[in-house]
Amino acid sequence: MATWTVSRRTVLAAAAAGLAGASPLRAFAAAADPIPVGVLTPLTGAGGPFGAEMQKAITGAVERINAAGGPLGRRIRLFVEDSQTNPEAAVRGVKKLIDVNRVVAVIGSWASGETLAVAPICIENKVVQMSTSGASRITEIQKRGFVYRTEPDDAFFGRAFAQYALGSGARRTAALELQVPYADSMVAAFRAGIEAGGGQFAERVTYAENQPNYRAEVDRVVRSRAEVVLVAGYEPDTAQILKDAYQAGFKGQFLAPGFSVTADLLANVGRGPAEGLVMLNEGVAGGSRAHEAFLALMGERKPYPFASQAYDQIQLVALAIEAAGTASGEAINRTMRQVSGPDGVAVVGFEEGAKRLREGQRINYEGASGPIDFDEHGNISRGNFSVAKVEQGRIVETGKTITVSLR
Amino acid sequence: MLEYAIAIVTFTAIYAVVALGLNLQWGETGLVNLGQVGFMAIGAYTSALLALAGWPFWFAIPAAAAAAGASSVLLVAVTPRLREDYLAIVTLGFSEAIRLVLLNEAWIGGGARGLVDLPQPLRGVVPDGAYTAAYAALTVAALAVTGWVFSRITRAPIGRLLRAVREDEVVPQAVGKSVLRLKAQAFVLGAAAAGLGGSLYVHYLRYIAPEMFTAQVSVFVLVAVLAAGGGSHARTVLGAVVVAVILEGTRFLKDYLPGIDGVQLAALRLMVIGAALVALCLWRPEAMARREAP
Amino acid sequence: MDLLAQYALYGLVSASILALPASALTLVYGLLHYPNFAIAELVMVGAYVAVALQVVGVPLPLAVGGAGLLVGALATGLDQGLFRRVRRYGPLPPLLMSIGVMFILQNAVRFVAGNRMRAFDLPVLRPLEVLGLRIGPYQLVMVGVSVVLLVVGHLLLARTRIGKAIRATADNPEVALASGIDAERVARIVWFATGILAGVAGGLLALETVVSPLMGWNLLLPVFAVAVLGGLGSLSGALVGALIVGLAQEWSTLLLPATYKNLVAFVILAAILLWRPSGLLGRARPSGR
Repeated sequence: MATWTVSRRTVLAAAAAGLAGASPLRAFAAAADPIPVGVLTPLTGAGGPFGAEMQKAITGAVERINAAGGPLGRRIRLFVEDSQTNPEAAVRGVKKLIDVNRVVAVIGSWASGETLAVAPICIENKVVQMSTSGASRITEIQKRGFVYRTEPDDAFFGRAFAQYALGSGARRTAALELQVPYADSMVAAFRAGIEAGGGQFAERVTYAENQPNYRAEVDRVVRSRAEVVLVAGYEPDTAQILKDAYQAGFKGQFLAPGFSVTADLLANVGRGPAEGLVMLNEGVAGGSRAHEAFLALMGERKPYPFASQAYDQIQLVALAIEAAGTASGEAINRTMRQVSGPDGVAVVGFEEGAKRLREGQRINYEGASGPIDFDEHGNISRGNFSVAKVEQGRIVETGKTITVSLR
Repeated sequence: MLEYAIAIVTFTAIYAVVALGLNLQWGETGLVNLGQVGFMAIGAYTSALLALAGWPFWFAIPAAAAAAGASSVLLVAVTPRLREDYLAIVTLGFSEAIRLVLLNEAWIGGGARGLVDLPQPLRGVVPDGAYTAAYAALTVAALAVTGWVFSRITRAPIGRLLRAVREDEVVPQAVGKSVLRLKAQAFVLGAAAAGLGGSLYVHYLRYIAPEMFTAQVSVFVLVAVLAAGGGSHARTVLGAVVVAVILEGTRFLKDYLPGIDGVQLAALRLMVIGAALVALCLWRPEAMARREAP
Repeated sequence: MDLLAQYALYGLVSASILALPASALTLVYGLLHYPNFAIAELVMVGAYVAVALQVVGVPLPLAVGGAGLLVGALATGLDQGLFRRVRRYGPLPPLLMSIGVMFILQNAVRFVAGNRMRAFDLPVLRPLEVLGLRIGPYQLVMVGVSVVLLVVGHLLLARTRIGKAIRATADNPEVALASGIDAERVARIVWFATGILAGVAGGLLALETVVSPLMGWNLLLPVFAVAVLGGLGSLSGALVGALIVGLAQEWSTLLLPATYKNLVAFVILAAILLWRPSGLLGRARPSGR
């Protein structure tokens, strides 16, 4: 109870210090209540496997944040909704979160379609939205503030693949792309990067999800005589493509984003087809303190990069609330960049960061998914990608990293 | 709470408009349409593209209904005598075909990426704070108008003929009216309602992409109409409310069902929809057959 | 030219998978006069059962056969418990009911197995090269088993007493009834056969596919195109239809994006309805019902 009293005083002091417009009485009453934060992740549809892990990361992080006293001495209370990887369900979910649960921030929106549908509602209600979507066109909406993305833009991702392919000495490249927004912008950037670097981009094949086979698609890529082929999809179709390519006698090099390849895929496609596959992983600051703390939450299975981003998102929201001295979407939007860096003392979690903030220092959150420094739109300004490879049926980190920034 | 309730009213009213269309087709004439979502998509893309090109909404929204209605003429032409078993698969296939074309032909609506920042009707006319309520009122008004028009049709002599078509094809033929023509008209009007619904749907979400128009939506609408048992327009609206409750209510159910993860909850939700369909057929087969008990 | 031949071979593989559920669809339609929309989901269930059996150590042939029998039992159960009760109300109630069953099966599998992908625990093999054409060993198995199953099915239907009873009932139920054929027994057997065809198709499909709850849905349109093209109710029509749709879908990818495969199936469906609604080998039915 002692900390409680202190926190009330802190809030009262903050209010007295001149929180414009806010009545001290309301601030006092609010101090006792937990801070409502919304979680909107896909539990079904294409995002299903990712959303469940993101929730786990967020819930675990909140337990620690609350155990450390919580922002402004208040607990964070999570309200969780399933976005169903479907824009309509996401909109209904976010309306409920904002209107029924009165959340100050909505974290976790994953698919670009969800993020695009939900963003205008968050902006209108002055609620901060944290997203792991990569689609470049989200930037158009971000110009109005409140929307932050911890996922490197798909354009970064595509460039990183191009850098890797050119660096490996490949001359002729191709891409297989699932009909989803992220793949579209990733492959476009890949192609631009390859051509800018003097390589050839021979073939771009789009494919539909859930097909019994991708023989014809793979065949076109094989016929293009590409040495390096980027597969931009999700796990089930990537697995099928690797199998079909192996059965078609393809001997070139496949590249894929790390989130579409897990131990599950390796177990399902067997040794041959996946051998030599190269993956770029975003959002994993391997070896960093924040990442270790995050892994300790997640248990045995190697988590997808989105989970580490979700972990960072809730940390950032908690820190921004602490820095602002008040728990509202507008306040979080105001202080987000003050806690994300790049200026200030590096911190790796809420407890450490909140202590520094109370000491009056400026902080720089260095997260489990990377340094996370936001540009003027709320996008991370640098993409760090680690290179991994499948060797003898296992995913092995090569230790190499590729850094992309578009400026 | 109010904003959330307004959102639910908006979605339910939109689905009810689409369901009224199906009710005119199935309830009044016994035409099975498993592709109502295809007509929604046609309407949605029509008005989205028109609005983005700067056309006013008083033109774009009716154009959406017209485009959906016009496209349904194609299906009428393809399906021999509009036989129910053929019509079922043709309409289902049609809606998939529409989705595939929208997904592949990026020049139409951006392909999988869709179109963002769609204009909204009444924006700027009503204050921002009251906008969602105004939009809900717009959808309810669209529902009322659709219901009124359709009940005029079904009450008029043509409506009696439509019902006669449903009960028995021989009688009206004897009267000398072209049964097929009547059925076709009902089908086109029903598709137009779906187009209207689709248009209202995407201007509310301000975003449009082919992934929004999967066959699942057609089945939701089908269940709404079947639950109402065909016939009454008011009951069809009630059917839409029931489906909305099943779909949205499970959101609140999860707090009371520990041990079920999100994937299972979503699966359960759709199983309930499927089970409702099966139960309706077991419970009132003669109503589902659109004819008196044998 | 080589390319055309290679894709014809792929088409043959697709056709061998389409022919099984399409035969099942057409069998039920021929006998009971309604289309079963749940047919593709029975294929999906078959794939899951086969994979589940094989992964726990059942030898592959037994796993696929077991999937056939289990799905056969499931199909018979569905008919006895649900479809039979509404059969006499015309095609609409069982048709609508089969859509409900489609939803239930798809999501029941998702409920139990989740969204995670599954596959047989088998090594992936490089293709064989014959006359410059590539074909995978598993694909050979798929075509082989499918052909054997279809031939056996045709023989049973043509030569055995129960086969004759099925044909007689499909041709003219009243006459069949008068000659002492138990129509209910015929229906049960046909539904069981339907399940076997669908279940084995699922097991075969899993030989080259990662199994997921949505795999059935993607087969629905091609399977219907095959059955309608061949003429609903005609078994040999289903074979011809499967070859045409399989070839057309594979060849189309030489001209169109492969993402249009299902559109090709729909166009075939629409074209045949316009040109010859009774299908290639179907008999025109005067009343339309």
